[in-house]
Amino acid sequence: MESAYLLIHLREQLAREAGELGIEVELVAGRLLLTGVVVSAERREHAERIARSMSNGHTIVNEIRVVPPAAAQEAEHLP
Amino acid sequence: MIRVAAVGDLHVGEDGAERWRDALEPVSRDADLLLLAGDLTRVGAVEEAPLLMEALSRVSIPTFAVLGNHDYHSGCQGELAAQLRQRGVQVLEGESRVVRVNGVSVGVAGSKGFGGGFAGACGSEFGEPEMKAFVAHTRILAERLGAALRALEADLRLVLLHYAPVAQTLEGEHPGVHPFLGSHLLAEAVDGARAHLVVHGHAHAGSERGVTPGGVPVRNVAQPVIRSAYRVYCFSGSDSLECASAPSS
Repeated sequence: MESAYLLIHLREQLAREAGELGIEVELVAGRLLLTGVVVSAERREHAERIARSMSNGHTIVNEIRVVPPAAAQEAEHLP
Repeated sequence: MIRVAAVGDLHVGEDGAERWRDALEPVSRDADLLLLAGDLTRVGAVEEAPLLMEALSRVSIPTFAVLGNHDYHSGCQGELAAQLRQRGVQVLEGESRVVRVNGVSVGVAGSKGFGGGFAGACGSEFGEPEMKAFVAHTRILAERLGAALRALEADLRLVLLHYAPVAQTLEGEHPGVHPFLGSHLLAEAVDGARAHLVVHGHAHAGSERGVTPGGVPVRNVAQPVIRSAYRVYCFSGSDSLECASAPSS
């Protein structure tokens, strides 16, 4: 598959199979780079499995960050 | 003082319910009411409903919600909303509810909203039926939201959305996807009435703060944006509550 189509189809598969619409996929020096934010390590790994299944032999670089719901920050006062 | 907690895009699934339950536990101490700005579940499956109830199980303050696109994905949005209502959550779509907090009436008007874009890159109700349907969906939801907000009688007036009403809170997202993330029609609906605050989610890579052209503060409370379980916005008492934006008529 042409790499331009690979990236589009991978994003589509991440949405359909994992419900992840916020993961960016790009080819950097021949490697498939995953970036974005998910709420758990399980979802990070799930995205990587999907990418691996469609990778066309490209090495996967998984830089998806896990941001769990942390304690609330200071309140904002509005007028 | 009224303290309003808000968060969107919880995406509760089989791996997140307990984490969210623990993360939301302090909210009933930190705030007087909680707004949930859609995408409460991962894919809107009926199996996710009990997980969502578990996530909310330690919240004891009045809670208002709109659904998001993820909550519609499996076609079970009606069941999801019904279970939330059974739990006591006010699920809003083109309607409003009022709750009394510390002697102040707090009204929340809500809608999922939808896309279509912003000035300079907007869809129009023209051409194929699919294109007309896309933009008409937003227009109809925005009209209902506006009507609900105009009819709302409350000291503190809040608007709860999933999709964004302004492009400012999308800053960080690829501009090419803005038409899928929100619509100016939602901001127009707010500015045609009066409001103190609009909160929305949906745009994970966006920014927290914006303002409608009519001067109403907009906050993107998508969890990946606020990077916490919720944000709290404080308003002073009813004596000094002044609204940005006035009816256009």
